[in-house]
Amino acid sequence: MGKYVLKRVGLMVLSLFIIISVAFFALRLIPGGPYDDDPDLAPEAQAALIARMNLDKPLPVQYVLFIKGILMENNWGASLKLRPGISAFDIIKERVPATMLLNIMSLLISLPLGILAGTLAALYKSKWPDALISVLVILCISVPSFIFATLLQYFPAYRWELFPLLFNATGNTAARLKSMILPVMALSFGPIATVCRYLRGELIETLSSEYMLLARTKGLKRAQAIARHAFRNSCVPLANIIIPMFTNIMGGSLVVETLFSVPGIGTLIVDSINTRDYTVTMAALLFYSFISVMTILIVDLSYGLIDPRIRLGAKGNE
Amino acid sequence: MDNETILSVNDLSISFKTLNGMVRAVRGVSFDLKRGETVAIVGESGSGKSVTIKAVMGILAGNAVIDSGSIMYGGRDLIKASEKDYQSIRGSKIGLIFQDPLSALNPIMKIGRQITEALRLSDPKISRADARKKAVELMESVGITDADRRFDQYPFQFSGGMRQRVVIAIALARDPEILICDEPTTALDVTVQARILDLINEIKQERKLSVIFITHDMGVVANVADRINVMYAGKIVEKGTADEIFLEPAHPYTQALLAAMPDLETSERLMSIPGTPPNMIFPPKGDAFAERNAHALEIDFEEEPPYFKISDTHYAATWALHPKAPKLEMPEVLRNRIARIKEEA
Amino acid sequence: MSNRVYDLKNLPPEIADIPESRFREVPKADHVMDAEFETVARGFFKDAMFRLSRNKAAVVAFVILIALIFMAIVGPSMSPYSFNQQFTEYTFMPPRVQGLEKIGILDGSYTLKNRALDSLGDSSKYPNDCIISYSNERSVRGTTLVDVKVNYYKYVGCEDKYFWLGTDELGRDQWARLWRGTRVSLIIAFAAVLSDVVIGVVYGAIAGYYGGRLDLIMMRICDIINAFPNVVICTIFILVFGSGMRAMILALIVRGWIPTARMIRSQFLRFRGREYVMAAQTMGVPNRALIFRHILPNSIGPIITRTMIAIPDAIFMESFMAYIGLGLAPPEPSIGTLLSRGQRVLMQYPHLTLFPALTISVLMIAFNLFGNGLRDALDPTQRGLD
Repeated sequence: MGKYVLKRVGLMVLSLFIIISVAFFALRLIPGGPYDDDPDLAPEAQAALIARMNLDKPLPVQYVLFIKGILMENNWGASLKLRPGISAFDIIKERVPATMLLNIMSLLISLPLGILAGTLAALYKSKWPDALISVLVILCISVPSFIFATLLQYFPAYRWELFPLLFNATGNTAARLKSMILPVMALSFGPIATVCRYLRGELIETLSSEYMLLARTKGLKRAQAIARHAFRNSCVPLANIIIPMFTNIMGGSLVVETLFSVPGIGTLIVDSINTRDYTVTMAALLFYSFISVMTILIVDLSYGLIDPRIRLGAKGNE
Repeated sequence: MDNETILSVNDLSISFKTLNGMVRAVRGVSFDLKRGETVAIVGESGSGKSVTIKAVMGILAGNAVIDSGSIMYGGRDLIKASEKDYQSIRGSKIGLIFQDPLSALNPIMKIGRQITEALRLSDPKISRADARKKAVELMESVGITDADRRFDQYPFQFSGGMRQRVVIAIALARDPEILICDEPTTALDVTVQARILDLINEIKQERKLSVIFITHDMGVVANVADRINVMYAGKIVEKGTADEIFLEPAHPYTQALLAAMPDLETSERLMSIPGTPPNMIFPPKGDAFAERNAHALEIDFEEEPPYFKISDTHYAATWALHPKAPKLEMPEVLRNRIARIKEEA
Repeated sequence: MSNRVYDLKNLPPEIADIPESRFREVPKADHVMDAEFETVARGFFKDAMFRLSRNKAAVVAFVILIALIFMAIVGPSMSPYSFNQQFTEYTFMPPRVQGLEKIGILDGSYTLKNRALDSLGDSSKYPNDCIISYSNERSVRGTTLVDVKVNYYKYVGCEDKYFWLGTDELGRDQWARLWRGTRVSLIIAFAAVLSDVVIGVVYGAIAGYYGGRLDLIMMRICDIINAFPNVVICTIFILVFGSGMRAMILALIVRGWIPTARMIRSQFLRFRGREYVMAAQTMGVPNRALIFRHILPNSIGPIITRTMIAIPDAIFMESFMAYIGLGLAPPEPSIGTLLSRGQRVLMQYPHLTLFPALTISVLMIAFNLFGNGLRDALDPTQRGLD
């Protein structure tokens, strides 16, 4: 287990190092220097900024300072246009809670609903609940989250006036929660369907497995056998899809946040791209990558905890 | 050994619904199990032997239909028993050992827990420590060494033979009186097979079990069975004591099976059985084996043979036994072998 | 009848008297011994296509896909207007289709909100008898306001024109733009996915075939690239290389080839150890032939399936980039840019969002359904099951 953890952590550190490097070179490569097209900036101020960004130093030195800045001083660069001079890290810090709230709520809703729907579909395989769920699954997996968001914004919010059109950042808790319902819903359709489809497949496989038969011949009731053997065994591989799912939700929230004006990282990225505030864009992308890498690490490690074959270092898939 | 019948299967017929039609998997199977004896059901894969014992355990797949027959146990018909009634029989009265111990154990549950889970069903109030103690004893009794340590291990840490011992321990956990072994040695290495067979014989003696033994391997049967039922295409084609089946096989299929069985002494070329079992969606009109029988008679293709009683314990369903049929010549391999066995005896 | 039992020593007459002629032995040659195959062996792909054709959902999806691809090719030229022709005086025209307008749908009507009731008779404000009806009469500070439903084409004075799906903020024909956009999205998706497959197959084959240390390093590289969200990679890529079709395709490839590579690698690992491969190897078959002739053909099914499943992902990603402001540079439309532009005026002109949204949804559903059908049909374990 120790070796497994070490290997995983090492890989993730390497990943982060690479993405930071890519971010560094990307920032330098984006056509037009960061201050070239800014007529408002006095030459002295521009020089000062360039010095502060270490742009006057040779590339390798810049690179080392950049990485040192991120790792040691939390210096992810300063905003150029959105809020000039403010540390990108601070801007991101402000935006994290809204994004996390949205993403985690979506994940927390998707998992149980998806598991419920998947279990129902597997237990009623080839009967009408299964057929109905399959149709919904195809619909929810195929239609992108931003289409759902648009649909929800137009009908329940605009036409029927059941929900606020936009995220309510200033109201009381109840108003805020109410304004979060639509964006969370828009984000959740896809993940619910993903979980449902995956669990259905796994459960059908375990339900027909020999160890389910053995459990029955021990004398366990069908419901007991399903709960203790099939269900648990089918949920373990769910860890496999939580990584892509969470990154998917995060990706989806980029657009959904913008559509509903949620003051999160997604809106920040879109705004910074539109105003060409590239240090902020890059810092936000780095933040996304960190979260993604951490998610992968956590899921990998917890997967090891759940599945004894990985924890105890058994080779291959038995 | 008393002669009380504890399980009796009568005229059992089972079909499976498939896209192509009803598959007639079991067609009128009858056999008895007497207390303390081992009854073997022998046949190729697809002959319906596994389906028969799944019916006995009440774990048939969802698309199976029991067309007719009864399974009498403890004075009641298990086919008519409710799921709740079955709960009191499955595991506690009848235990089952599987063909493939690898897939029969839950891969992510500790061995010990899979055993105590069964113990707990018989005795829901048993304490953790007691359950563990009992399980370790069980593991030791089926020949698992270092049982206390292995209690906390997972199936993938066990070898095939050891896994099968675990499956046996689970089957024995609730002290059943009938043990059904579904090809218990097929998935194991040859060297391990003999040890598992010995173990089954041993625990049968110790615990006074009655055993139903399912296999396709006549060689295995020779070591364990008191009585043998030979099954072909969903039907029992010959039944008799082990001696009768091995020394006086009457059905051409039984003879073919025996002639195909290797042993140490046989120097002649072994025979193989040509062809494949019939499509059970459309069972043949006459004797299902006729297509593959080198000495098939005209009537074999036209009319299903009844059972002919050869002795009180020996029956075979083949027209070859009819007085007007030409005398069935046993394959030479078999004739020589039987002569040799009789000489030795 | 089969379970009757007769004592051999005491047969009843109906059994004992069966005529002897029926007990003649049938000569061996007269009945089949080792059964010959009765049917002609069906090839793998023929078999798969047969099974696919029995999957109704997949067939419907296939027809829809063909129709959409057909429209993507000829759609733009069906409209009298080109995709980048601007009618600055006819912006935000509602959809209007000949024939359909007579039955009240897509008839070019539009509801003008909050108009003074008094002004309705003013033909300088409402020319050409354009008013169809008005509703929601209410009084606000002494004036009576109504919502007026007008024939917008008469209202702006271009009754002779038909913009089938309306026009956008620059007066461009949405029909031409929608199909042009579909074409662009499909080209991007197909190009990206085909490149993914080529790269993935070569990479996966090398890793899986040679195995060992090389495999380990190659797979770690995959892990590392895979650790970053597609959004991040695509954004960086487009920021650096600009937002053209080529940059978009390249951006999609950066991470897109990895699933194929992993799949191919595991296929190779599996088949590498098979006896038939080792046999070929001992006979001196060169590596290249082993890879392409003996191992790769096993993976064709999964490759096709993977391709079909990757295409909707690529289409999604393209629209997604458009939404976050990194879509294709104007005037070239894509479904994504149409959607993100339509989104800005969703409340006033929902038709600008409706049609691209419908198109992308139908496209994605059809690709997914067809992909699922293909996967089931090409799965060798499903062979002969129905």
